[in-house]
Amino acid sequence: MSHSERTVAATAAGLLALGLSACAPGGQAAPANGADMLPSSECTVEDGPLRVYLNPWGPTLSDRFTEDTGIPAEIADLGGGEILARIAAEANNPQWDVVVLDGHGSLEALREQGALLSDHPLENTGNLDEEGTALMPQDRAWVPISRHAAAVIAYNTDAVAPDEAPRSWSDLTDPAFAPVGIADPAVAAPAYPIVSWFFQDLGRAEAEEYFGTLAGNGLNTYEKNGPVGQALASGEVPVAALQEQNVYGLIESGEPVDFVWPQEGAPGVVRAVAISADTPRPCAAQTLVDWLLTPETMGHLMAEGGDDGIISPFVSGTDTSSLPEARPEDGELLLTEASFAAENEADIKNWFAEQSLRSR
Amino acid sequence: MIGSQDSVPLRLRGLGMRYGNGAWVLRGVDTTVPAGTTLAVLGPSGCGKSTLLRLVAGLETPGEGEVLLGDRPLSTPGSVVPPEHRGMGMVFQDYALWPHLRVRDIIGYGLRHGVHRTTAGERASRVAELVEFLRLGGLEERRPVELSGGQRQRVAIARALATRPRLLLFDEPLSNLDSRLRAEMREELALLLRRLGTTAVYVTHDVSEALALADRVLVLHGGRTVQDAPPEEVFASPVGGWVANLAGFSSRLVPEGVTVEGERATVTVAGVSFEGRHCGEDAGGATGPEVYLHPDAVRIDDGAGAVPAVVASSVFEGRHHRVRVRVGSAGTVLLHSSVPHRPGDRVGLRVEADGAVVFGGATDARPLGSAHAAQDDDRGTEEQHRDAVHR
Amino acid sequence: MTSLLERTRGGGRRRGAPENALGWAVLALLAVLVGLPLLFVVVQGVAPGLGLERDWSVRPDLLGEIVRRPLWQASLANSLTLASGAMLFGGVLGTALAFLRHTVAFPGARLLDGVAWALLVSPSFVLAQGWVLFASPSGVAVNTLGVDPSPLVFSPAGLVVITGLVKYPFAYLAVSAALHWDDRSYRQAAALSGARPWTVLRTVRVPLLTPAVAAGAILVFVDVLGDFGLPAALSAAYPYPTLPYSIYASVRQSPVSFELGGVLSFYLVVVISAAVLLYLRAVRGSRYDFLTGSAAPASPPPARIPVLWSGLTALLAALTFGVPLGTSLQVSFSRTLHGGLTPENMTLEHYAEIFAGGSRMLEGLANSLSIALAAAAATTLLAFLTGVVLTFTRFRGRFLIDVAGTVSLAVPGIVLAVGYIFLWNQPVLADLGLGLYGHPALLVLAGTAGALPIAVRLQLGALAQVPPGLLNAAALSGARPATRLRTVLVPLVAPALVSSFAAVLASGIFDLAATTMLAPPSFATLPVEILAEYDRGGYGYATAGAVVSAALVLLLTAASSAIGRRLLGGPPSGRRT
Repeated sequence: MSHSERTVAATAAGLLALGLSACAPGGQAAPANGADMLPSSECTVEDGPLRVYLNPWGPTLSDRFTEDTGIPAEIADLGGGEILARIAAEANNPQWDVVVLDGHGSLEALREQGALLSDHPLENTGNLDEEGTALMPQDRAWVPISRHAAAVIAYNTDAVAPDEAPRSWSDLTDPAFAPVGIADPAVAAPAYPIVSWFFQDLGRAEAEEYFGTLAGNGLNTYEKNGPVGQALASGEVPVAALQEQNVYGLIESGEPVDFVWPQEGAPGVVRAVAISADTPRPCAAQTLVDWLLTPETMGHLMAEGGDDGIISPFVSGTDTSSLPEARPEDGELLLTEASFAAENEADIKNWFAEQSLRSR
Repeated sequence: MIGSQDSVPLRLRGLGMRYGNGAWVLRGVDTTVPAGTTLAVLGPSGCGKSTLLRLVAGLETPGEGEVLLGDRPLSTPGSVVPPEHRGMGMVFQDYALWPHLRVRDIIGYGLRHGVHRTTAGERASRVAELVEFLRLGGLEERRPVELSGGQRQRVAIARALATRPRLLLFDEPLSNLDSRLRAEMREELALLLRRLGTTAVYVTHDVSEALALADRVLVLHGGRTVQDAPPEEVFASPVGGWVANLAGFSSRLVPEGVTVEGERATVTVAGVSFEGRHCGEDAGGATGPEVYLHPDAVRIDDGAGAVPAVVASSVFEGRHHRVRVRVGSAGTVLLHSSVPHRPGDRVGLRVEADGAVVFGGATDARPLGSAHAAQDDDRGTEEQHRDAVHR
Repeated sequence: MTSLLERTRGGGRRRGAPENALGWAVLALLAVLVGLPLLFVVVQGVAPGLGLERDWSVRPDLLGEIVRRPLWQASLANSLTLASGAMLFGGVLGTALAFLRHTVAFPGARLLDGVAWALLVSPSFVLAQGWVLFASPSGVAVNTLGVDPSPLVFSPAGLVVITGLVKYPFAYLAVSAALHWDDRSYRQAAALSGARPWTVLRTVRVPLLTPAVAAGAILVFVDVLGDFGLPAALSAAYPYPTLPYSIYASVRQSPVSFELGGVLSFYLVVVISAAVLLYLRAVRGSRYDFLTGSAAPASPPPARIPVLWSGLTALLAALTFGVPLGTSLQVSFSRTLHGGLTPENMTLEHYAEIFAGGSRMLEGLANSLSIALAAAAATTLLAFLTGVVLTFTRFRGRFLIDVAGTVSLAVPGIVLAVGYIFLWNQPVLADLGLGLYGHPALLVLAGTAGALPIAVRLQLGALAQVPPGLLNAAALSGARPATRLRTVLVPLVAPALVSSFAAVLASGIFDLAATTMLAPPSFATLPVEILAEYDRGGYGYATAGAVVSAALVLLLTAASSAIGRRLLGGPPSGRRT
């Protein structure tokens, strides 16, 4: 190919690429407003399956939903980071109607981008307790449904005696506990709420110093909480910041693992539900959200959801008798502010990704 | 009936073709092959003769001119009837027998898969007819690898005949055979073409094939026609040193002087004169006078009036000794001798008048060939010379 | 050699129309399958978010941004370290083994061929997963053998060695192919000219084999650089970002960073293109390209100490194939990874779970097999037509097809998959009714595009052996273009068609890069199920799935190579036409 032919080809290809995207909206779109929509009890459900991206519950949720409402659902049961990545990659071509995700900060970020349906007439938000109502944004773009500890201090009882175990988060900087295990904030949905709380609570500089110290001593990051638990059980790491559900699971299966719910509290993660601003099935989507906000649904999901059912629901009147005995009833949860978590998400995750390179 | 129902003439009008880079590989070929006759296209490799055949077959698109079979134009620069619709049969240089098929299926291929599809019964009887005609009985179930060279050759011919083509094309079909088989097949083909009565074009670089098989010979050089004549005329009056060489006059000498009297010329070489046929100026564009000698027309004879020469080499070839002698600064001469000669021996040469053709020395110069052809002349002679040595 | 594809129309005139139509069709398909996705990847590197997000900008400066981004730098540096190291180690190992195989005969020598092919067709994720589970601090080595190799293995040098052990077959097979053709008479001629053995080696054998050795080493380099399976398995144990993994993470992990994916893809393609050019230079005009070479094995003289070489071969097989697959096998029968090889830790539950009715793994297996079958059929057909256009026509755009084929050799699966996300997410396609994003058909397209370059090379080799005269002869017998392809060309290149179908099928079943990136979330596939379970820490279930897939892939490959051999070497009595 001669030079000029190449130039022509490249130019043509570039124009083609531009042409393909020319139809896409260029600037900031106005958030989709659902103020003039009918509530779920009055609207007509659209044809086709409701496409749900969800992090917890999987088929337990979709099967019961279809059973209760007759609306078919197609679920994508993915990691939280993956869900966010998919939503971002599909920003101009959304393949989802509803998202159920651990991490209200990420949903707040989507709300700020105008990717979520807002001001739509939900019927059951009145079922939320005081705390839940306080968390929910004014425009109801996302609705909190429950919370749980993103991390408690878990330790291997063969490696660490119970009376020597760390009591507070600051104890983890003791080199005796290195390497500390933690899930990768970029991959595992519950890991970001942990680090975002530290960044909010300590301030950026101190938080970076805190994690820097941990990394200096030895900080093993794993893609998900599952491998963190495996590493803890095997003694690969003596101590881990591990999501509470995983801890109970390990204890139940007889692994040499115990945990401490620190006095100052455990970083919490809020599970929330939201509807895509571009959904072609707003009625079916609203039906799902209203269905989720009933004590019956929450009770079922808690009882049948396995690890995903170990939560503190925001829906008043939910039967919580299915919670494991190991779970303290009065454990304090530390929640990051949604707007802080949203604003700093990319920065903090990138800092973490690059931190793991610096420490080597 | 083995051949086609009716014979038609083939006409080429100003046929030419260019390479992708614009150079003409063939140019301005005009000829007619009368119905039922065979045209031999003679020339060395690279002269355009294969291109000519491919143009006739519809495998190439002409850059100029046209191909007509009967009155029907088959190829013009704008449109070409594709090969499968031209009603021609072709025997390829390497036979192109499909290795995955059996003889029976190779011969019957066109009647089964081609545009001339027939019923299975008709196909079987036609195949049987050709098997018998070409003496292939008992080989029907074999694959090409299990056949000898001559058998492959006959299968290729049978396939070409199967669809009763109105024109048969041969692309150097004998060049892959050893010399004994080649001579046999040459006779066989001559007989076959006569029996078939189908119009045919036969491409070869072998003069003996052209002379044996053709009703007319078209000599190509550098992509142009240099001679288009009956075989006898090509042999008797080649239009240039290059054709003479191709026609078997393989030794070239540069004479000191030439005297022309009508069709006869007297040349002087190494101080001795002898007679030859005068063929005008060299169409290839050579400037000075030249004489070309046929090896069978030169004898060693030490008597008076013989051309003095020195033996350069002498090789026993069974029937005779092949002797190369040097004639002063005029050049070297190849001849056949019944007795061996020692290199360095001084000998005398006697030349029969019809074994020498003379170019140049006449008053009017008439260069026929293009500059391009002239440029290629040396290479052609050189190649032909090598061919002669091999044979 | 042009008479393949012309046809009559309306009275039998017009030539070249079908030939050009086929050429343009092939070119258009290649553009859609490979060209446009690649273009979109590169465009994202300078105009991140274009067509994907509501906000986008043109930022050509991003290509230079690498100097300020530690993650980008580390990815590039790690990839280059790993690929160069593996090229050296794998190249030396493969070359040495090839020489051993073709210099002396000893019992079990053919095992070297078997191990090389098995490693080549086994999904690299499965092998790497085995190595990781073997060497990790709570892995099989610690629990079963009582040694902890993790500090050794999980270091750049350790990874180079592991990668070399997984990828050396490229070098082994390339050099072996050349040694098949290593005519002994060349050496004998040199010896008769008075050259001593050392001189023969230096002046004849080494110069003849150098291109093959270089080509094999470069193939190792190219494959390691573009491989996604290895870093995907490694990411669970050791933070060692490579280009393919960072590209994957940039699009499939939060926060999404299209510019990172675009820029790193750009670097990756540039480096691999350079290597591919070197490779093509090395194999040009030679018979060293083992992908196309088919030769009869020579029979070397018996070894003086056969036990030594047999033992070495067994050791190598145990190390390269036994360790990763043995580990996977053991873990797949274990309750927990750290439980080790104890009776109470043994279980069949993972296999029971897989083969239980309606398991996601079984569903994924069926889906992956269907996708691979469809991709193999499409690839074989398209590669055949591409080869036909390149070999037997004078289509004017041939050089473009040639360029596309060469370029696509240099596009790793992960880059192609990212390109598919970028391309097929363009809303305009959905408006045109071509919204394939989130549809399994996209996996077939990606599988086809990824496998096409190898399939084309396989078939070009076979097509080049077919004299054009065979097709011209069919034309003059009256056969139309399609008939000529069907009755002459297809039967003649059938072995190549079968082997390219088999190769694509085997690699398509476990196409990790394409499926993790493109599979619709509700569509279960084998690699995604295994990778997800592995990431979650469900090692037993993940390895059981890996063992099942490896067995399936090896079985399919063995079966199809048997069919291919039959087609190729069948006695002339076999078939009637």
